[in-house]
Amino acid sequence: MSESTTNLFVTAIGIYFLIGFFVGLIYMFGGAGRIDPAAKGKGLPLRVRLLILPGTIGLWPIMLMKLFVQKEPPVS
Amino acid sequence: MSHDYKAVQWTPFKKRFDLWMLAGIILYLIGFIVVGEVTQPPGESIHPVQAVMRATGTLAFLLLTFILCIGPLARMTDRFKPFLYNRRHLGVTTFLIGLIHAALVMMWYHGFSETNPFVSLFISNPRYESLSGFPFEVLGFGALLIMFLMAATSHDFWNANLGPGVWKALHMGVYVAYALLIAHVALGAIQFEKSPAYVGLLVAGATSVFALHVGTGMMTLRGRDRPETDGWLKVANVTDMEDARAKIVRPAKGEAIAIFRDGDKVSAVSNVCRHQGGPLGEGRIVDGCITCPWHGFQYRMEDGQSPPPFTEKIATYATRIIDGVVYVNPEPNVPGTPQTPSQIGATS
Repeated sequence: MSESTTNLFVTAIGIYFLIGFFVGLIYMFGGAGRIDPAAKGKGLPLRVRLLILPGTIGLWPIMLMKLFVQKEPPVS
Repeated sequence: MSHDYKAVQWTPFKKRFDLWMLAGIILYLIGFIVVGEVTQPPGESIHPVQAVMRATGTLAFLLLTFILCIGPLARMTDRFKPFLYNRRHLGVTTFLIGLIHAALVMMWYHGFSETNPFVSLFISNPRYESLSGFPFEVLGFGALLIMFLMAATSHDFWNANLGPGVWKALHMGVYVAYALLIAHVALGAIQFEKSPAYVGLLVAGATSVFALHVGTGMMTLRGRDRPETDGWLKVANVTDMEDARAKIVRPAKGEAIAIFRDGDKVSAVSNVCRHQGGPLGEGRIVDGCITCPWHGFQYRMEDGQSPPPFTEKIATYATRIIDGVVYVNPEPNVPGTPQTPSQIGATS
């Protein structure tokens, strides 16, 4: 892999995680409660909000899709 | 059970477990660094950063090896059940130790050039065609990335919102991470280290994981319960069934079944908890409800439903008692379907 290709690859990964961070913020402040009634308001304390941030950063495409598509609450 | 999320569902045992784990980790790191310093040949000193790098690297490998051995070992002996129930904390800890190792590597070997350290990681050694000079750090990076996804999605929120199937599939990635880690060590540390201890550690670790999985896999295949002539599976003699406890039966197809005795009643439900797939049959009956040993999720014996206001349901199964022997029908009812318990002392 040449340096320029690698630069492009690393930049793409960086952008992926940056978008994930913003989607994570959306989840931390309301998004989680929208897909999961158990995570509404006090159901999701700040410490748990912080805990779900890294996962949303990694899996943001799935979580973003859930935010718009999911109509049924999760099983548990 | 639908409830407010908590950062960690602490129990006194979990607190003790984590304290012991932390103490063990600190002892290992100190011990590794001290022994490494003492046994270092004269004139071949290593920098403290390198010593910590090696200590965290070997510890992450040992912990991941142990984590992968816990499942099979817990099926062989109850002694490993406490580790099974606290595997999540071990997994997250392993990722954090691997992260410290990776951060030190990035700083020490890639942090002092003008090139972006992450770009440097991929291009500083382009010998992808060589076996002995393979850029092994990339393999470790891949393993860490998988472990990050697993650690980041270890909270109950993820299990509930990704769904048990996706969550489980994602977490099966631990085997890919372990394979990458073995390649990372074999093509990395093993190529440079003179001490045979590293080779021994790698071979013993990989062999243990492989042998334990193959061994318990064969045990499960042999132990699959065979249907009786009319399709019902023999469970046990009533006298062998402990009160408030269960016997677990594994049909040739489908989920394992937990058959509970509560006083003079016998009922059967799926062995798989809806919360995180915990083994219900290893739990007990508390306040008339089947209680999962992992996080205390509860289900009623008679219909497999969580008591109100909770809404989780598991499959129920028909049971019968003939001549003092308990049988279960391996065909599951729809989750939450009421199923009359068999009465000990009466023919059902």
